[in-house]
Amino acid sequence: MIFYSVSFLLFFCFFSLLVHFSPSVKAQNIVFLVANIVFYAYWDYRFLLLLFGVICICYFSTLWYSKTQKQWLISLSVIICLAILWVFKYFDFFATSFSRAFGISDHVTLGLILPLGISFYLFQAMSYLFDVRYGKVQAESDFIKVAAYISFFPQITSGPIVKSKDFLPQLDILHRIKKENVYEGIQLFLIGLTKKVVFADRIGVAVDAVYNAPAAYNGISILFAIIGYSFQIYCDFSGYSNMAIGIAKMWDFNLGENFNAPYIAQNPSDFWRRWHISLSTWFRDYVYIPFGGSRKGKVRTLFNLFITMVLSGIWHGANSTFLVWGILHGLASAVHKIYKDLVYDKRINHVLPKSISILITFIFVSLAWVIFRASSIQEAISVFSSILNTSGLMYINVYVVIYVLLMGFLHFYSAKYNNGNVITINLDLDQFKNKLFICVWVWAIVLFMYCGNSAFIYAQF
Amino acid sequence: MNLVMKIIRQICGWVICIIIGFLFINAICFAYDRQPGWLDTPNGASLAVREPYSLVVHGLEGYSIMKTDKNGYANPDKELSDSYVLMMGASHTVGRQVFPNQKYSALVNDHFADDDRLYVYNISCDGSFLPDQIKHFKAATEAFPNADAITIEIYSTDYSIDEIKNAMEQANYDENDSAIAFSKMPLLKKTKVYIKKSLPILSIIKKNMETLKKNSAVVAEYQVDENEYSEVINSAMKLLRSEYDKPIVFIYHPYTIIEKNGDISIKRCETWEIFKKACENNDIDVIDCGNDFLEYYSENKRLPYGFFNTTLGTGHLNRLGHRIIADEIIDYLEGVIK
Repeated sequence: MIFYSVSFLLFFCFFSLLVHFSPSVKAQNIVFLVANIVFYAYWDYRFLLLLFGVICICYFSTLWYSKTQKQWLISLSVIICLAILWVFKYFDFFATSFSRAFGISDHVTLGLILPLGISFYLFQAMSYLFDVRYGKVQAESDFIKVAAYISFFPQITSGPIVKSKDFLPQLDILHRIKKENVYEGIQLFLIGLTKKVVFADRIGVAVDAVYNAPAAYNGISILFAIIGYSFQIYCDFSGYSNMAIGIAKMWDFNLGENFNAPYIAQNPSDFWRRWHISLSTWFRDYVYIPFGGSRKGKVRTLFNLFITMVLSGIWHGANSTFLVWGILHGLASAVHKIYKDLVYDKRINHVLPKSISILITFIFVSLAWVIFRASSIQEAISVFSSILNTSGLMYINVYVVIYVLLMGFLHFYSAKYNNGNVITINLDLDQFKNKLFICVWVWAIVLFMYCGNSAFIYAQF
Repeated sequence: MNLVMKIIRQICGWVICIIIGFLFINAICFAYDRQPGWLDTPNGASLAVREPYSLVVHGLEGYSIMKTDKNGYANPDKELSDSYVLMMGASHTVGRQVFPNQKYSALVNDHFADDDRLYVYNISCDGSFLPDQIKHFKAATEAFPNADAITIEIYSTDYSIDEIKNAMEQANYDENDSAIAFSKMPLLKKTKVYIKKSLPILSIIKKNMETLKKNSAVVAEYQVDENEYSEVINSAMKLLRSEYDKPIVFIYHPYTIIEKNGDISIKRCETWEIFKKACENNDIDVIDCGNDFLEYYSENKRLPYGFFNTTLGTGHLNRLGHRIIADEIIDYLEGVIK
């Protein structure tokens, strides 16, 4: 059930009525859970049992932990969550890689279908386990609440990953459909929808064409496709996040921000403070800080930074490309930390060095996206080597030019006039001119949307 | 009461905004993509005609602006020569994706015309594929009896036996089944055409819905009994030959595929060789542009399909594709006519 479909509209309207007229918090949480189940089952009912199993593990282990304070209960539950992720997402890749490395021809692969949203809901589940372990939230005795949190439908397929300490308290209040939330939610949804169906999908067509046969295109076209992909993945993923956040907002939930103008980042660490914020903070809170963060000396800090980024890379999928991508970001973060500590420890405030930092970071991030986008390291090498092509097809897609310029301008505007934060809109839709603006916007989406095949990039993770 | 009034005012406000928004975006469509009225002509020279003297703006693939002529076809509004070449075909020949002077029919015309009259007359129509060309061939020869030669553009020959057999039950030419019918339309139909051409956004929405539907549809693999196909297509070509004793030439432009290693290959239809043989058997000429496409790519690294606002190597013929086809046709016509 894709967010911009008639079936979702009907689903959402029906459950919105139930949410609004729920007599109590408990009844409302049941409505949330039923909505989550219906939404997930509509995508793929086969893995509901797995989702239910994960919820049970979290619920019972934390409940038991709260009574006995036995840490191994939490550790065991985290291991089970990681094991589930390993089996479904990584087993085949590691089995094949291991067999290949040691020349074993007869190896076992499971060939399992990746359950929808597994990386997202397992990370939410682990967030709950860690938060209970570190005393940030109390172990929840209400099963419905835990289940509603882990399976919360707007973000189950592609995030944002909301931490339990931020979400569970929101299930203690009675939610009502409020006009101001609906207005804000609609606008967030429209921003997301525009990014996805107008920008990302159209850019994606042009990028895919070049990536499918890089050897056929000349260097300029390849560079253009590389830049195009940087904006495609941003529009695709942040578009989904905007839609999810907007939908949750309409039900009076606050999921936080997931993107903040990432391409005006001045260094790799800054990039990760702006890109997929919910995942970055998850790794910061549950990996980097528990590993010692920056408290255990310079070398250990660098190692912690590096390993956090590598794990973040692997989180995206079972492929050597994600591993290399994570390593590259880990190295870049470590190198930047060394540079910051040894050579330049003042904040860059002048326009020129700031612009150069942004440019260098953008070039690094875009080149790293090539590895992320490729299906194999060889394919990534083929794209990189094609940058040197002096002959070949010249292909500059006009939509990519327009949309990249537009996104570039919005990033520039954010940097210059909005204190480096992404610009957003929250119009008062009671006013006629704002209503008119929204209506023109919706019709413009209808006119310029891309209607070909297009899945959300991050839904595959 | 106040609350009810407030809600009513809000609803009215939204409805008005939706309408104004719709009209505003609709106005943009006049510069982005606007199709004129369309009339099916089952007994005409072609499958359908567009409204005469209307403006066609096409920006979904490539970009062009053109005007239909008095017969509702994509030609300059000029008088026809005493003898001329008739060009039949589908959307590639209509050439909405390129400017009117870049279409192959215009290029051939420019090459041969020695006065201000049209030497090439293009009666192509969107969605008019091989079976439709066969069906309307006789009617076309009757509507344009002074044609020196007829070219028929095709990109596929893979059709079912039934489709070809049905096509051989040809249209009985009726001169009223043409652009004249626009002026004789009943009021209801006229209003429908007027709404359609005044609200181009509706056509775009319809197109979007069709694309979405097509994405989810399962495409069946093409299968045909080769012997039976050969027999039927032979009869069809024999029929065309019997109806017109001057040169007939099929212009075949197969699709190009960009390979991983940077080369391109040509994907010809499964029945192409059988079709070609049937044409040869009946003294019908064939121009296969596939090898020209390959040669041009290896020399210039340019493809005959695709645009700056779609992808290269896919979709309709671009300016280069039209140029290559025009050169082929010019060579051919110089050999058989001039």
